[in-house]
Amino acid sequence: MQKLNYYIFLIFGGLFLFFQSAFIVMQTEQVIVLQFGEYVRTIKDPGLSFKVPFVQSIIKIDRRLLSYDLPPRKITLGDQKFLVLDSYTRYRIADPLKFFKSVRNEHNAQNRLVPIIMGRMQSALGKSSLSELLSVKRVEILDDIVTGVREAVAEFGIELIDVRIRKADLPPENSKAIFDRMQSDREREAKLLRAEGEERALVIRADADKQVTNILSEARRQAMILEGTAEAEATKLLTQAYSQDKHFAEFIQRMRLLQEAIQSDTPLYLSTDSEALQGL
Amino acid sequence: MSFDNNPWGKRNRNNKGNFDLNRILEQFNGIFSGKDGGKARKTPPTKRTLFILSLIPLGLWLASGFYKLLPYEQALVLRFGKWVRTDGEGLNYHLPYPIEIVQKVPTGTIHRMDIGVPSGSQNFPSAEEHIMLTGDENILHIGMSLSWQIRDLSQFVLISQNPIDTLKVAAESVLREIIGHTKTVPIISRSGWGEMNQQVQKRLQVLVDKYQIGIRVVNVELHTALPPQPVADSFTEVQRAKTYQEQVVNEALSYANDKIPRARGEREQIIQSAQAKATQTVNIAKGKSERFKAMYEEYRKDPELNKKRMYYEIMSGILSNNTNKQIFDKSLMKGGILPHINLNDSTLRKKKDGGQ
Repeated sequence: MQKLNYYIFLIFGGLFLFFQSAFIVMQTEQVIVLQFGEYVRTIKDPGLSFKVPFVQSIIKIDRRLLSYDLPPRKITLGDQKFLVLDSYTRYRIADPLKFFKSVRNEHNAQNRLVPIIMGRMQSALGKSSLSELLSVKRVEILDDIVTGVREAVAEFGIELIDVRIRKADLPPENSKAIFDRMQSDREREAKLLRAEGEERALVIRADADKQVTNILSEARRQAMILEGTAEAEATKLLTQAYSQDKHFAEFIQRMRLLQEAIQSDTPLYLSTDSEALQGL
Repeated sequence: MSFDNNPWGKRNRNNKGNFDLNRILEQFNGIFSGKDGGKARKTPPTKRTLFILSLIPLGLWLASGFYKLLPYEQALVLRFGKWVRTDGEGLNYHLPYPIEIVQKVPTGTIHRMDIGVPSGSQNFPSAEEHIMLTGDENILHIGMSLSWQIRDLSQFVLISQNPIDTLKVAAESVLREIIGHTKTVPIISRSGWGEMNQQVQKRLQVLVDKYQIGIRVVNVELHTALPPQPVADSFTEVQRAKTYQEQVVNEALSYANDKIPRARGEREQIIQSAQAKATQTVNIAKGKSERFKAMYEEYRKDPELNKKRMYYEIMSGILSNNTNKQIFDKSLMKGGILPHINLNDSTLRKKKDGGQ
């Protein structure tokens, strides 16, 4: 019976020791091992690990990509415009020992990150204007900030992956001014559109009128040429005929004129002297 | 057995069941102990029996490692917390708990998230909501929907603390960056959307790859771009101006379309009439000249006679047709008085004879 108790004691004791010394390092974690508070080693390989029971203790530190969204902050730009910046950062704990020594946990780390990032942002953005920040230069400016912050946070054992501006809005006080400008911009655009419409319409109308005039004058030119040619032909024919006897031609024409000039109701005052009435 | 007659017969069956179970146990014991069943009833279990009995939970434990995955699922296998592999659909096996654990995730699913103005929202966004700054320093309400899928499960679960949140802020950041590079007009008019979608998707994927969160950006779709309410009217005014422009241009075009064909018709009319007139002129001249030639041919045979004859013929034609003629005697005209005889009433056969 005593022997059985001994075995049971051995088994449970062994198990107890096993659970005191073995521990699991998750894929998402890294561990620093301390011996009476003194640093011994860092375990970065996930899986089953062992430590000296009772003497050594472990501290688990996240090794994933950590996120922190910075609180919105008002920043003055180089052109004296204000901007409310909402930025975020993504970082990773690269050196767990340094991290543990300097900030101990993520919460403290974030508190330390804020002034560093904000300081860099202010100094970098304080040199650039809003239009630059909205241009392709934004990437450049942000890269500078990231480089600066990365160097500064290395001493906390933090590897900075990125700092980015999530939102960059003008403060609400400025909205009124912007709205006014947007409105006047739009009104200007609308006026221009209307005037351009009138312009195009006038050009089209004027062109149409010009075409009409051109078409008609061209037609008249052709008409005159036709008539002139015909007159010439007529003159030629008549000259040919009348030149045979000019006096007779003149006589004929005079007679025709008389015939045409005196209508049936034209008042005629005839003297008995006239050739036709001489017989009286 | 007072319950033998129980209509339900329950007790009876239970008894039977018990009896059967007992018998089976006996048989088992018999088999394990190598003796005949029934006789081993009082024999204590040997070491070998215990060993073999202990294999049953072991087997069950080992069998607990089988698991199945549906076609849209994947599972991470972690051995003592260390990632060893990712399993796909079908029947899989992992070393039983606590050596290996699996984490099933529906990786096939395409997720959707809204950035900025939520899609399908009917209300006008409030002044401070989802506003973004455009390249020409205007403010617009922008909404985009984003679909994504897990590309690398191990990265998605193990590398980032909260990958979905990371995706969201990254998407927001990229969207604002692209909006910040773009002018207001192509955003409002939607003409720049295609290109913007592509840019956002491309840049976001680059960023997500940099963060290694194992996400594939499937699609990016802008769905809303509205001017803020206080200035919405002026944007409508621009639309109205565009319509007006089209209208006046169309009116002018219809004016041109009305006038020019008419002018072409008029041209034809003028030319045709000139041609007709020209032909007429020439024909008349031809006629006159022919007539003259013909007359002259006869006239010259006795010019004096013919001249007289023609004169009198014409004068008689004129005078006989005229109804308003007055004839004066030459002798009366000497006193400066002009007496006249109205011959209108008289019925004269010949003007030569008529008169006094």
